[in-house]
Amino acid sequence: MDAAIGGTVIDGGNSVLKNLTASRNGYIPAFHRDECVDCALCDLVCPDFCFVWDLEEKEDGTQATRLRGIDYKFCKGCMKCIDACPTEALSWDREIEGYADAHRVPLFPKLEDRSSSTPSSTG
Amino acid sequence: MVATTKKPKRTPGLPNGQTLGFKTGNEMAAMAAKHINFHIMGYFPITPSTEIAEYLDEMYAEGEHDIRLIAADGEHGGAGICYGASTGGGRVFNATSSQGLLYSLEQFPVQSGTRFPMVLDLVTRSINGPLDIRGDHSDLYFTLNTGWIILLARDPQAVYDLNILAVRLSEHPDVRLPVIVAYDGFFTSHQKRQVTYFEDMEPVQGFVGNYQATHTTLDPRNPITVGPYMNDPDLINNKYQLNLAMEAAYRVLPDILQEYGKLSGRTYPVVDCYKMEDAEVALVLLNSAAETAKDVADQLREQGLKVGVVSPNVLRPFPAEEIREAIGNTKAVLIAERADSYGGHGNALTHEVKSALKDDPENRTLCLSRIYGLGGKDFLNEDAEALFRLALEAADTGKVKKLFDYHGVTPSNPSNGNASRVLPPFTKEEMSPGLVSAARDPETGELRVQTPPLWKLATRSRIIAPGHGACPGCGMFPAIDQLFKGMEGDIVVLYQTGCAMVVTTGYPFSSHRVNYIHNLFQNGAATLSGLVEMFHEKQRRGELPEGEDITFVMVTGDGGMDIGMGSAIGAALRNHKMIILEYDNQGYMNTGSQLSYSTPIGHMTSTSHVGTAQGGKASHHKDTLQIMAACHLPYVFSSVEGYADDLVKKAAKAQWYARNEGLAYGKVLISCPLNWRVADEVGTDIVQEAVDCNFFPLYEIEQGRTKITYDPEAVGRKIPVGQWLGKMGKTRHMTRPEYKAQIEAFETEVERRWRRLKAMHEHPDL
Repeated sequence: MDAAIGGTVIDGGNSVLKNLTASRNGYIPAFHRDECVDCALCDLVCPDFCFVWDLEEKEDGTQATRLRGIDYKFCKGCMKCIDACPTEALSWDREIEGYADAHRVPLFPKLEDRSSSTPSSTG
Repeated sequence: MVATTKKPKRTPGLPNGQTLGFKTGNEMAAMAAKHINFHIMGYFPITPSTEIAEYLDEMYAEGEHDIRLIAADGEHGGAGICYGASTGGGRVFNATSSQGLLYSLEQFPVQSGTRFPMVLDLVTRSINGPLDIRGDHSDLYFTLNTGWIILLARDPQAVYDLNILAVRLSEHPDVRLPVIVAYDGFFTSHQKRQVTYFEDMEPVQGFVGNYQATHTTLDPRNPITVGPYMNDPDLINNKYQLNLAMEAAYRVLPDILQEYGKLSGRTYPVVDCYKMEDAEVALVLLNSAAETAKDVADQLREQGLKVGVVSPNVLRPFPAEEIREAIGNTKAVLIAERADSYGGHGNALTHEVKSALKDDPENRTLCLSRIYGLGGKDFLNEDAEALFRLALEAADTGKVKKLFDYHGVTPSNPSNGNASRVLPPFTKEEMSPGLVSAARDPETGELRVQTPPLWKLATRSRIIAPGHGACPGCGMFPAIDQLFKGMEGDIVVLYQTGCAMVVTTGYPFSSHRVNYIHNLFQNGAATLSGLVEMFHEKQRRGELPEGEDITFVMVTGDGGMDIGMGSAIGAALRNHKMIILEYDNQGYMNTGSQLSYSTPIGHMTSTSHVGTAQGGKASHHKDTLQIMAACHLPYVFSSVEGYADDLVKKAAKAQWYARNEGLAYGKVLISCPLNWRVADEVGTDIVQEAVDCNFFPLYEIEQGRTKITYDPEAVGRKIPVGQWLGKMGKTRHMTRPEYKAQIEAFETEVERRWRRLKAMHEHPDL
């Protein structure tokens, strides 16, 4: 009964507390850093904004965008990124238990101790 | 010609060729409509009533009935189609829910006031806002004062029977009024129950008979004027006639119920009374919840408590006498309502039951009123028992502790909107990374846009957070994200009802990291235009910080641009400084893939089935961009999710025009793997083919100048439309030989529009 009036959500962006892992259907895009050219085509087609980027300082002082990995917490396994990737940096792998946890790069590291207060719903 | 196919097996022992089945309320509504074989159904899809039109379309595609199904531009249009059709003296059907009812409500008194019978199934659902798709009666109560007869169907069997009865009641010479058959969204519409129905349409046809309309607008030898301009002193007489018609309906209804009982073996009373003969305490409630209350009444009876349940089968005309008779001898009743009349200390049922009792000066029954089950909240046995206990307490003590209250409100939930922010709001600097710029060339006057290589945009702040619930592979968010990648500065968004709205804002969650508003898709553009003007007015009055620069963006689906076309055109003609982005996935995907006007010809949707008597959608796709361009907007563009470079550049231009000139409109074709029936990962390739076959040309219209921004012919990538259509499950049938004429017609239309566009591209005045 202490909810904000009008059904207003004061905390926009809180959907990052959700875990959408259950949407995957047995397959997962595996990321191979050595093959990646950081072109970001994967990022442009990803419906779920799972790709985690770093800004790196180059030797000449300019900044470079570098793909660090995938936050599998949000990945629904649609595999669009694999279709978009011009190299072999993403592969279509059968998801083995524990793979996602072991290879996940958190998009929001500060939130790692918080989890969803209600069950995730993926429509 | 009606061909009856898929004949169920006749069940021995049931009268007049009936059979047993296991069906939902919506299935039974469609079955009744098929057996009645209405002339016309005008409708617009809305959950949870949509399935009725879907089932009827599926049957139509297989030649099982003759009902002409007309997908309207919105429920207001749907009601108009029905009204117009009904003046022609034929049988007319519609089905709606919630906002659909409210959007068309204006038409209800028109239909009843001019006295044209029809039947509308109201599959009851909560009304916005906030938006809730589940079942309560907040829509139903809005119909009470419209002059329509309202029948209440408590289960799928009653849905079938009352629909058939409704035709007779509606067309009775003393009545001549439209009829609503109301049943509970999801509880009744979607749950299967054992039912009995006529195997063939003949017994139903025999029961409803031939309709001889009082007036028809289709007899040129006997011209009439429908709907004159009528002021005082005449209007009160017109309404008195309507009142007499309602009284006639009250009078003839029992006879029609009896007659149908003889035909079907199922006789409905005007008011359903359960264990009321000796009851001291009763619950009065509508539709499916009454069935729950009956179970609990049985349990309480085992404990020796004399309780019963009263539930009317008709709400208009209100069966006051039967209600008084049913509960007049009880000590206490509790009237439970699935909708409130806020501030009214109980909704209409409460006050009408009380007034029915009051008409007996000797009556001493105590009355309590409770609101329950709003927004589709379950009404379980324990809820019914709690309500019985309240009434029992009043009966025991002879006192009502609390006349009116809510039942079932939950205590505080700290996560409901008031928790500390999970993610910090973006800073001004984060919203303006300086990656994209747009400016007029001082010499040529041309708007020049500078965008970085796409990889540089990967680290740009995203205004939509992950964790949204879109289907795997959905093209919406890549397209929306690419649009915002092309913009700088603060953003306020308005999402019209649709997939993108539903999957980003499931309470108490929201994926929106900037200010966000939802409004219903009839009205998003007007709503945002109001906010745009509030921004500029506050700025003018010095009420906002210096230098505040906000870009206002409305996001809508192609469905929102059907029902919301008028509102969008209004905003465009007023030329507010805002952007409208339409994500076009060629259908009403949020409600289960019904056809939109943007759905191309031949495409299969849940309201344009493919069968022996129908081959997908019958008409060509709407050219929304040209409609908007005809408003002479400063900037109009098309793009697709697969061409990020194109979309980012056009977004930057759109923002420049929205800041400096007025309204910019963009239509982006995006994939819907689920309803296009393709694999999740191939959406981007498929929209690329839609472009390469010239179905969806990439172009822009900048201050009246059309420019094709990608010409598949010029780069040797032109493909025939059949190649694109062959890739999708929803269109694969079109590549079969029997669809040769249709696919040729489609290709001809696509090429005609392309040549027209090319001419516009080549000529500055076109």
